[in-house]
Amino acid sequence: MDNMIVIFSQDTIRGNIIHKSLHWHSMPSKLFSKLYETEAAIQRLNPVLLVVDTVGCLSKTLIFLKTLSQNHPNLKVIKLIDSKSTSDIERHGISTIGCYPDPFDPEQLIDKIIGLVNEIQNSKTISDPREKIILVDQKDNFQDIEIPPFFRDIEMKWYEKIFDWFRNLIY
Amino acid sequence: MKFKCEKCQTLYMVKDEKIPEKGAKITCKICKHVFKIQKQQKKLIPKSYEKDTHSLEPVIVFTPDNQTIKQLKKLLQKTKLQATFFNSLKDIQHYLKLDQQAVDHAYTDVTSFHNAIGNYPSYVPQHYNQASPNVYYQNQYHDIRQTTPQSHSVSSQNGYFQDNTTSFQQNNQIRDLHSEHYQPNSDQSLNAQNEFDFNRKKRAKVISETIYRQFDTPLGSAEDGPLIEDTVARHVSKMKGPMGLDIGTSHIVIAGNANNRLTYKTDLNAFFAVPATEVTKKTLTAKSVPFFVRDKKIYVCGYSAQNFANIFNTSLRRPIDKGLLSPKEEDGFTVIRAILEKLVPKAEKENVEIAFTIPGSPQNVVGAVTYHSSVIMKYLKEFGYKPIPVNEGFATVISELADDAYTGIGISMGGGMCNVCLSYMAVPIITYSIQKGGDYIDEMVSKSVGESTSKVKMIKEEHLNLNQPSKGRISTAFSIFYDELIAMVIDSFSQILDTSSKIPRISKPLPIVVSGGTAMPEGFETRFANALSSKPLPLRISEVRIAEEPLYTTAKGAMTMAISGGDIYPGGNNG
Repeated sequence: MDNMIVIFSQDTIRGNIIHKSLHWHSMPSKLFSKLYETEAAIQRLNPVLLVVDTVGCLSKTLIFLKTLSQNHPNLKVIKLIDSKSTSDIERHGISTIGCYPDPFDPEQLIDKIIGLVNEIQNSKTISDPREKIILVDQKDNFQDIEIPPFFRDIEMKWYEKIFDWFRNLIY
Repeated sequence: MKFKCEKCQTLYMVKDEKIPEKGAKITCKICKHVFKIQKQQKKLIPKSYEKDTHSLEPVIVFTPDNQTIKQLKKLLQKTKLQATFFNSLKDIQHYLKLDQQAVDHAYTDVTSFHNAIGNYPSYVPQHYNQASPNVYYQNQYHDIRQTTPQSHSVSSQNGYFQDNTTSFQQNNQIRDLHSEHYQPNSDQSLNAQNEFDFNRKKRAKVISETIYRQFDTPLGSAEDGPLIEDTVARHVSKMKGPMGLDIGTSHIVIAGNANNRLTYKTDLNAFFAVPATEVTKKTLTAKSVPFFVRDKKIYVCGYSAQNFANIFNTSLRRPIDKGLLSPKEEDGFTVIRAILEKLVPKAEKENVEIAFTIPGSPQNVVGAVTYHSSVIMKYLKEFGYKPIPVNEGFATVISELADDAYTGIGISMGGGMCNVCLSYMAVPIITYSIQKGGDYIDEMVSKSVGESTSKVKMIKEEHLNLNQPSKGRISTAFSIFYDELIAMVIDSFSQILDTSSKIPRISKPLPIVVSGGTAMPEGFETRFANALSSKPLPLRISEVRIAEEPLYTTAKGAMTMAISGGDIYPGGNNG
């Protein structure tokens, strides 16, 4: 399914809030409370985005995220973290970009998810990388606001980076 | 007829035929007090209509939609305004005798009919006009004002037809609604005054009849209506599909779909048990009272128990205490099952969803709800249903806050407990209960003023207005204990919000909706809002409002849950 979002959360309240808020915004999503189910769903559904709630099960999710970055390097991930566990995440070599620390703000999170999914959709429809750069230019502070740097790096391919480099040289 | 001893308030029941026309002297068996009773004229109008007779103004309402009539009736009942409802233009004109009068103009539909009356909104929905029988009214017209006598002032404002209220007050004998002497076609010789009285008599009769045909007996006034079990059996048998069940401390309400209409049925969650003897069995059979025998005891449940407890010189018992299965009642199990058997029809097919309400965990009590919900679930499974438990507070949210994406605070204030639920996007974040409710208020008021609980309960249900300044000691006591209960709810909620780590950051203000019988007195809403303003919560509140049908809200919410298969989605089609 297009735009499918997979959510993993062991906290039924937080997980359901994200899942039902996305439903409210007409975004298809699947909620799982077990990591092996989540992994299977990623294989099966080929989602555009994964939301991982690490609160309350940090050690397990860290291993899961590490494996995921190797197996699905292009899958975008949003991590909900406890504000105290940022250092633990960094220590395990996982990027803190795309992390949303507590307190849990569903409205802000959903806005981010929707924005991100829309951007992914746009990037899919625009096949010519030059057009993408033009699109980036048209939006003010696009790279700062709409797409976190973590995702921007993954998303841009080598020729895109060259185009970007040329653009910076020219202007 | 029921009457009470003036001194000790003992309730007696006697057949109407035994009371002579002049009245009779009665000696109370308890306190030996002698007092006189008069033969009571039978009443068909619910008690709420009897209040403030002088302020009543008959109103005629026409709409072809029966559902609208139902809703309007309920609204008008609350406002103490009498109204006669018609769903056919033919009936209304026959009622007003327009079809018998001289014809000056013709009107063929609702618009022209109202134009003839004057002062009516120019726009009338198209389907209303379609509903009118055009042919019947061709070449018939009479000004509606002429149907009332000239001696009485008539005002026609905003389409409402209003009679003279003073005269209405003076003619209380019209409440003898059993009078069948009135013949619509034979009263032409009567003078205008009589005609006016007859009109009103007929109108009152129409009101009473429609209410009892269309509605369940109002809670707390079962003695005025038909036996509830008859009504219940008749309507429940028509119910199909998923159902919602609200198992409260004082009442059990079931919501179901009958002929594509949401229908509620209620029964009293009470019983009495007497030793099984042949005499008792014969008495109950003669009175057509449903009962069952188990372990050499006869059990009478529901409204029947309320009506017959005095006859057997026994008191009512409740299988549920403070919202949960009562540990004090050994027979509670049996009775709950019997009441459920009576109310819940056998499942048409296996595993039809039925959602039933469960209370939130009482503060500082662990595991109490698990036992309660498991027992109910077991019974419902035995009836062939797939039971779905739903928190009472959340059921209030489901029922009332669909337009707010099921985001807000639902409070169900029943007889035994107050259930609170904070929901965000149809996710119940916080659910808990306080084991105090309407019964607590009644008990405290009763203790404080030295009156019986039944009397203070009756006053609460019929006369309490929290908007008005407290005059008597009973209303003052009610005011105090209502304030106390509201403060308890707000304090506990505030405390839980402070200590809970589950609550997400919510920027938008949330609505509070209150349901349940305890929230029904007039002015409760204002009282709650005032209390809230003095003890602000850590969340922003947009409004405080009472549920549309406070007694049925949780059952309706449960039914919505059942239809949606056990999970509610904001913006989704949840039935």
